[in-house]
Amino acid sequence: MAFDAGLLWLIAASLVLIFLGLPVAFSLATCAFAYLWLNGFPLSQGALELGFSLENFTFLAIPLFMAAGMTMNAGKITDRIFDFANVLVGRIPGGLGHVNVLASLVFAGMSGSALADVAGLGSMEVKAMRKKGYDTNFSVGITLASSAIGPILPPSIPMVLFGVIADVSITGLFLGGVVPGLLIALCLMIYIFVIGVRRNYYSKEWVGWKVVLVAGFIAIPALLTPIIIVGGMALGIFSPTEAATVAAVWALFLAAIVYRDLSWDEFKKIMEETALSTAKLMFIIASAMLFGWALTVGELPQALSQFLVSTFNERWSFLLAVILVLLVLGAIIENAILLLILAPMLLPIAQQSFGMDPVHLGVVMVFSIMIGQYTPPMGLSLFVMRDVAQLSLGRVSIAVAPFLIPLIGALFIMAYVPEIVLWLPRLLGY
Amino acid sequence: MIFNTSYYYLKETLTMKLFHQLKSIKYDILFLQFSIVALLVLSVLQVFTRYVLNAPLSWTEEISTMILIWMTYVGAYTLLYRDSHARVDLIDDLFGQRIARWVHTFWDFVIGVFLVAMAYAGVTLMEVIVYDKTPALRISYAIVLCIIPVVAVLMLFTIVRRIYRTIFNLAGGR
Repeated sequence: MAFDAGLLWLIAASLVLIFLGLPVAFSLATCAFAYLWLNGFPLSQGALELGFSLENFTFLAIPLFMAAGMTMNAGKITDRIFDFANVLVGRIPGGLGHVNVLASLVFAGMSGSALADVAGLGSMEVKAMRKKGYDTNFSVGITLASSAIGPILPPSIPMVLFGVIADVSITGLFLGGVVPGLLIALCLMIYIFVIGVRRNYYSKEWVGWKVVLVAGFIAIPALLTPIIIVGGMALGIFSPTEAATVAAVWALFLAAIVYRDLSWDEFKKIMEETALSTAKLMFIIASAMLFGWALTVGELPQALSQFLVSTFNERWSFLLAVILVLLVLGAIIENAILLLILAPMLLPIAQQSFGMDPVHLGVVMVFSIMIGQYTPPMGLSLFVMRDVAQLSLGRVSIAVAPFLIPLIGALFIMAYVPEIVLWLPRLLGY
Repeated sequence: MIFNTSYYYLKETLTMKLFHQLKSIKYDILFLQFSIVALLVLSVLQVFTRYVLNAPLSWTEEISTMILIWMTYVGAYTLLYRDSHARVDLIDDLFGQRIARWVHTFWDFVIGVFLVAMAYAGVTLMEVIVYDKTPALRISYAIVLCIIPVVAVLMLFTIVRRIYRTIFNLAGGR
């Protein structure tokens, strides 16, 4: 079957359905089924894709990482991290802005998604910053921007998706995200420092070493989590799924036994919420993979590959095009869908024609798509923040806009200095 | 005689009570909660047998994957009746409530048509894969994937009921 121009209709139809409010997963699945039916394929093939696309053991890491994140939010582990960050960096110009970034950095080391960061830690951060008299736009913007670290610093659900669909080592991808995650935090902190000095956001006086030590001691069990996860994977002790298991069990242990903040009812609620968020994502994954399969049947990847190879002849221009397209598409299409459909198409081209490392491409792709999540109309993080901060979608989008500068800055640094991404995985032999 | 009637009455109320109690349990939520706990337990078991006993079990991965597939589709059903599948709600913001409700009902029709196709596809799929078995446990894939047509039918009931109610209300002029 040669390239089928009907695919363009398929893509256009699915986008229209999504924008007019049909649930994302149903839009993709309906369009894919219609395509199969119109082209005379047996519909059972569609049902097979819906089921078998989920038959991958690595996907198990998703509910486990989600359980870890939800437990940490419900069990107030995030509060301890925030308190410790507060006494540690609260005095630097920019005050709570730095606290916000540091807390997100630690939280990112335990949870795999930006949404968990915004929904849990985010509501607390915005409340604390408003109470201390920080500008609402600044508080909302920095909370959203710092949540971008979540899917880059391991563990990361989008990296799991990229690894599964493009058949790249997930441990390699996770390790590749460590330095870029720190780089994003650094870029944000420089930006906050500049704004903090300009607007005179100085915080309270020094609290004294004793308070720092006490807060540090309370936060130690929570701070250990990212070290256990990243360390375990770096040394090759855990597979990603096992790391997810350890993270979930450790978070439950901390919440229920160490900090004693988890009741039986809350536990049941966490299990329900975890299952439903997982189902929501996995149903989208299944339909996106079905949709991607329909595109492959119509030979879209080959057509795209020919187009890209003939248009771009150097790596930098190819990479620039990928980043720009993903930034735009990320604003209108859900991130899991973009990753699942584009990763298997772009990876072979990037590897064979432009000599890129798969881990480098993965980290750059995930981060570009994540930044797209902070621009309207289709930014899930924006929707969550809208509900958390009780502001309009427009207001939230305007608040986060200036913080896209340090984020995009970090993106270009990691895209054009591949060593930042590849140094750690190469050091450890992945 | 009086004793007898009251005895039967008592017995019947007890049965009814039990029946109502069983009816009020939300089985899908219960299933979802148990699946996450089961996934956790199975993963811990796997880690334990691999690192402590040095004898990893062969069947935990298969069971976990199966639970994950079942959980996804049962959860999709729950999300449908709670109306909380991920979607773009620009329509609700741009146009009024009334138009949005008609558009939603139209989408419910579309979902209904898709679900009929999904149920049909799921049933025909059963015939195709019934003799394929999973590698470790030798369970037929028809058992693993039978959740797809089952959930499609359940979702279809939910959607039809919702469409009926909405049209009834909209036509009722309220």
